[in-house]
Amino acid sequence: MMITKSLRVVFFALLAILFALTVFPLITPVWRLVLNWPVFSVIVDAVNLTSAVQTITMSALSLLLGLFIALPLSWLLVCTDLSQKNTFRNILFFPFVLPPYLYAIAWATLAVPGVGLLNRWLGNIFNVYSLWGLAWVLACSYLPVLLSSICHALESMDPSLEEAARVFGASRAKAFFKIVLPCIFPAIASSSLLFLLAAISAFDIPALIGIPARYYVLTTRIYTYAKMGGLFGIDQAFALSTTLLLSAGLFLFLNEVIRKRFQQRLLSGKVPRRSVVHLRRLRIPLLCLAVFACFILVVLPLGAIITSSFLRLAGKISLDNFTFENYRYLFSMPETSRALTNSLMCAAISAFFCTVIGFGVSYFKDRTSLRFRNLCLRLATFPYAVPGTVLALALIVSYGSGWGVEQIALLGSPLLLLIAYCSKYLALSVQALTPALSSVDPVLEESARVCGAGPWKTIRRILVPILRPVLVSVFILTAMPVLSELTMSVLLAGPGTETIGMLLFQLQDYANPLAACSLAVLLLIFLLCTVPLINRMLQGERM
Amino acid sequence: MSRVELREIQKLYGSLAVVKQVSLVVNEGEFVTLLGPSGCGKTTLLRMIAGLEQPSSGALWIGDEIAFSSEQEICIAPEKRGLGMVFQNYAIWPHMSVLENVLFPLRCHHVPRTVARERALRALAAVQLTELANRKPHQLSGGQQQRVALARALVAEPRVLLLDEPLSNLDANLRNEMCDEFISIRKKYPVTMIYVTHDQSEAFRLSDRIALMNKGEMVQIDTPEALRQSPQNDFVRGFLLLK
Ligand SMILES: Nc1ncnc2c1ncn2[C@@H]1O[C@H](COP(=O)(O)OP(=O)(O)O)[C@@H](O)[C@H]1O
Ligand SMILES: [Mg+2]
Repeated sequence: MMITKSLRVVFFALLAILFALTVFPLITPVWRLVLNWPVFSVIVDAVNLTSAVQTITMSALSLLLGLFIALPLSWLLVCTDLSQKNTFRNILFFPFVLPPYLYAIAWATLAVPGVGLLNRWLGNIFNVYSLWGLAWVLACSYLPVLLSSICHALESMDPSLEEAARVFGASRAKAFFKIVLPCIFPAIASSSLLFLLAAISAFDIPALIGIPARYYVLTTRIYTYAKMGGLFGIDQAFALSTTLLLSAGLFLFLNEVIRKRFQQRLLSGKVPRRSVVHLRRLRIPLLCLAVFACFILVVLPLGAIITSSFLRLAGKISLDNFTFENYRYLFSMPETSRALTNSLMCAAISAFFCTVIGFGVSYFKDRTSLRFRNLCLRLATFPYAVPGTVLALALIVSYGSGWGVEQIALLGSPLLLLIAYCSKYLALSVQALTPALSSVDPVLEESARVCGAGPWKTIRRILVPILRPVLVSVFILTAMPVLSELTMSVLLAGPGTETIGMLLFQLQDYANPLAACSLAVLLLIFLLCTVPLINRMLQGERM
Repeated sequence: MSRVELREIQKLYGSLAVVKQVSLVVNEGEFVTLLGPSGCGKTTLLRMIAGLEQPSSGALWIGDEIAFSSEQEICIAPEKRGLGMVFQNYAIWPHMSVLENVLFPLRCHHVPRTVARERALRALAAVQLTELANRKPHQLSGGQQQRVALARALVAEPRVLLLDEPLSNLDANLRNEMCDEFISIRKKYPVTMIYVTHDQSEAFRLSDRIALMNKGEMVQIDTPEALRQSPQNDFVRGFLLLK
């Protein structure tokens, strides 16, 4: 399409914004470290080495748990004649929209030694404050990553590959292990890498479950350095977090290698499955198993949060222990209304900017041949893979202190939070908008141009109206994680700029776990409202 | 080589009969084509012979063994039927080389390694693919993939070879060439063949007998000449464009 001068100006403005959001904050602290290299010795500190090992142990263990659950479940959901498959799927995929710390809170109320609900019912057998507890909670909350990818791979695998093996003499088991598993291996490997990336970057679950267990991982260690105060602590924290940054880079690199190496295995498109495995006698037992999985993975944790929010004393379910006191306490605190306002405002503002900037990035990528359009896309998407802890520290170093000028020191101001959220979640909007934009035929715009509309008018009158349902759902999609964000908020926010996530963290951590549950219920209601909204929008788009 | 007998085979999806009371005998070494317009139930019938789909009622013999019987509640698993099959989209396993693809049926039947390799190479030679033995499937053209599928289906010397529209994804020239290939293959690997197509020129060129299907029913089973000379009803005349 014809590039006008004003379009070019906007493009370079966009590039400048992206630099400010992503490149500058990451370059500055690295430069500081180079000048200040002895601080790197923090990495080989004995406690930190232990934490590194513990990070790896925790992530690997939770990946194993996750695969152990996800592989059979996705087989059951895709390849068999299990009834109510779609219901199961909707339930099991629901945690996608939940912030992981909800699971930490839930399992804390369920399996704290002594007063955990499960421990009350089944005898004191679980202790969530342990390595296994930590790995389990991580596995539960990131399970949808594995589940969705493996289900998708099984669905898009040509079923005649498996059928051919059967006809040529392979038993069902042999066909599965020799044909199906190798064919879906790339999906398993790449979702495992994403899972590991999420696990090593996770701060909330290790903080809420790991710290009480005295199980420190890199993110929680970095947090303690950062909270030590002063720039020295921040420098040490950032030095330590370079390890996370490098591992994130390594995972993404490996992911790319796998994608290239196994590209040809991913070729087949979506093929209708002509025959499913008839479970026959196993039908009822496996149905029970699927119900049990939904119960343990989704219903029980969410139920525990809701129930606990109405309890006077933790762990005791009875009528005389029922109370609204937790909600009353919650709303009596001045922080609560501040946190709700802050989070909602931040979510709305950053979602707005993410949608606008994301639209710009995808527009220039798809509709123009400007020189740096691919760079633009990369800048917009890569911070999503940067662990939240690292990104927050980088922003503190580059924007927090104001370089000696008090007036532009942003630490503790809402602006810094907004920058962090936009930088992190811009990728979500770009990834949703780019395919949507390329599915709109450029002829529609070209004909508007021929009719005499300028590029801006074309965008405003043609493109935006066509894409409106997508734009609205992208807005919600980016607002949701911001609303419940915790990892970056705890480092960036200060008194007066509390967020929902931060308040939840403080309540759960020391003040009042039951009030944390009631705040979690409020958050849950917000998030639940958005799901049908998104579904409606996307359906509207298809029509 | 075995004969295949279908007796009153029926397949229902819900209340819809996709294959209705089909009876058919395919003799040892015979080449029978299931011919009919698309959607008439040919693939479903073939998949029931392979054991990939279970008939709603009826009985099926392969050789002297009963493979399916609704009365006796017998249903032999596909891997125990000793068949070969060429799928419409070839179904070449993407993670194995050409040779490994062809070796797989032999491995399943526990053929010793050295013998298996020899037989696999012989099968590849029969379809003129010896040089491509170590290629990966994605490096092959459609016609070459088709040959791999054929070699793989024949290598274990199956009792019956089932082919589901094997030529429908090829262009006209290749289709001609592959037709000749099937004729010559029949000489090298004598085997009972059941061939599914909607293309009557293929059917007339290859078959000993043609089973003409319409809407799930067997309309007429005859040699190509007999079919031409005495079509049984208007559907046959219309489908074969006869006066
Ligand atoms: N799994 C299924 N469920 C319901 N209907 C089916 C299924 N598989 C096939 N059919 C129907 O059975 C009919 C015959 O299909 P098919 O055997 O593939 O025909 P052909 O191979 O002759 O083109 C078609 O009308 C098809 O829609
Ligand atoms: Mg067919």
